[in-house]
Amino acid sequence: MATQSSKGVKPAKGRLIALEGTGGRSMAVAARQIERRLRQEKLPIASSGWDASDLFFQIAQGTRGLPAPPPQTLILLYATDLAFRLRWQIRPALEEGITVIAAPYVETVIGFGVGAKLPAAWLRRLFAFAPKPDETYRVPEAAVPADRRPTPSDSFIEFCLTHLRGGPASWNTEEIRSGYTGHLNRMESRGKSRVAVPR
Amino acid sequence: MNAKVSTRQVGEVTVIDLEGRITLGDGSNLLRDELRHLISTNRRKILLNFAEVSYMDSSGLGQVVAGFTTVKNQGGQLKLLNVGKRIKDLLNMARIASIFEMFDDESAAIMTFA
Amino acid sequence: MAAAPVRSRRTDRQLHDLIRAREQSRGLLIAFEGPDGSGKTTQRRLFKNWLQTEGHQVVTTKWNSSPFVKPLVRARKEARALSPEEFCLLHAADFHYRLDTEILPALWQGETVIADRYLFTGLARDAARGLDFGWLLDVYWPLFWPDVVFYFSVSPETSGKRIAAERLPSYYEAGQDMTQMDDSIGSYTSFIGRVIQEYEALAKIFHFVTVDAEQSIDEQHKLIRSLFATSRRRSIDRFNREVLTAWLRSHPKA
Repeated sequence: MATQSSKGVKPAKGRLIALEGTGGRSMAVAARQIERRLRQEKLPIASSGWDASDLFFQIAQGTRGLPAPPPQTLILLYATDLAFRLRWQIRPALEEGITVIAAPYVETVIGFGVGAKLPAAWLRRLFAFAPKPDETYRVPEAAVPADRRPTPSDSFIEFCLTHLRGGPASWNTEEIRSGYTGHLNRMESRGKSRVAVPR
Repeated sequence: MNAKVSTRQVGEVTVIDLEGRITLGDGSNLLRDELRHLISTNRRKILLNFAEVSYMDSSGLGQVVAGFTTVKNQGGQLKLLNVGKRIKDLLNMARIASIFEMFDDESAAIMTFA
Repeated sequence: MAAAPVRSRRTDRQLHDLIRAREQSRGLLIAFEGPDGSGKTTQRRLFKNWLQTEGHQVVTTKWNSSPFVKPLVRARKEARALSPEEFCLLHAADFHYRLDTEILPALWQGETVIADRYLFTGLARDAARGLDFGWLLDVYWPLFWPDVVFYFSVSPETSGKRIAAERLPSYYEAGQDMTQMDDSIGSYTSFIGRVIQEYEALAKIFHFVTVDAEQSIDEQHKLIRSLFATSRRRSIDRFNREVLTAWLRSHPKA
């Protein structure tokens, strides 16, 4: 699906930058900040966001009154959307030498799964189809101003917590949120991600 | 040329006029946001007009595919107008050309919406 | 938004005791597996009717049927927009949803659940699409084991003939996304061979009860009844404790 480069020479592959976090406008602002910085280095760059496949938008349009899905189902739906993003957006762009900011990418959903008490090792194996990013950034929740809080329509985490809260099963959503945040905190403390503060 | 998206109503059909480069980032996001807005406001008969599209990459095509599933999911119809050769080639490469109804004439396209 | 109230939690010990106490009264999970055209659905209906005359409370769950995920799959199949990975992940999402909201609640209430296709259908079809088997097991993890799996074995030729006699197979059913053939019958004949190969391997690995689906309907039904009568329920403790424990933790009213 990649278009041909104008000189017939295959460009060097682009870099994949993961931007993890709860999502929403703050994530979009942080992504644009990273884009601006990289454009100064004359790098072609673009962003791939959550729900490019419209899966979650379609769920929100049509599943009122149904039992809430368990975390496993939500994670598999995220994986489906990520497979779509890789196929139509991320891989073709990387092949064209474009640097792609994937916001969010894999650690966000792994954090959610860890918060829901699912094994991290299993989550990593499930998402092994996604190429490893060259760099990872994280938008810390504390850096998000009140007027930019993510909503279920622009955040995978908020979408999931809203659904789990509303269902008949008993999910401690604050515990899930805390587990998710803990996962991203651990990544940061191990030097596996850098902070991106949206300004 | 930066992407632009505008809409107009022709009877029950909403025509989305796409302009410029529909690529990863602003272009495909504009298309996505417009389609979602239309679905959220109960518009179900949608015609995508490619007459002024200068370029579309696979992410733009992916957005068209996602939009098609969104409209179908709501029992609606999404059709394509003025699809140039380059975009037709993309659709053929992705083996999805046959799922879309494509037209070169707007009036003829409008009349086919049930 | 305020956090949901924390309901009192059962301890691991309590859950363990609860599961053991329910071992004999919990419902049975019986899976009917096999390629299209194997007559599986006919046998499933006959078996359900018979079980009901024997006094069982029976519910049926079908592949790709949850109201939550099915519309998403349908729209994407219509668009022919699914890669093998997306096809796999969506069907697995539907499976996990039904497991959580239909299958486990019914079993816990003592109802017999007949699954018209179970996770082995996903494994067979997705492996036939070239996906790594180890990864597929992770997609369907944690595996919840049925008490019995009836596998309807049929040759690709018989399957193809039976399907062609009824209807044209759909795009993904015919494997046209893989064969890239325009002719759906030709594609089906080619693709179903791969699917059956995967089923046959699964039947050996997971000890399915194989039924020769080339026999008459009546012979198959009699055989299934007698096989069922001699089959034993799987111990939850040994096979399914992890899944049931996790489900009970999130469903304290069960």
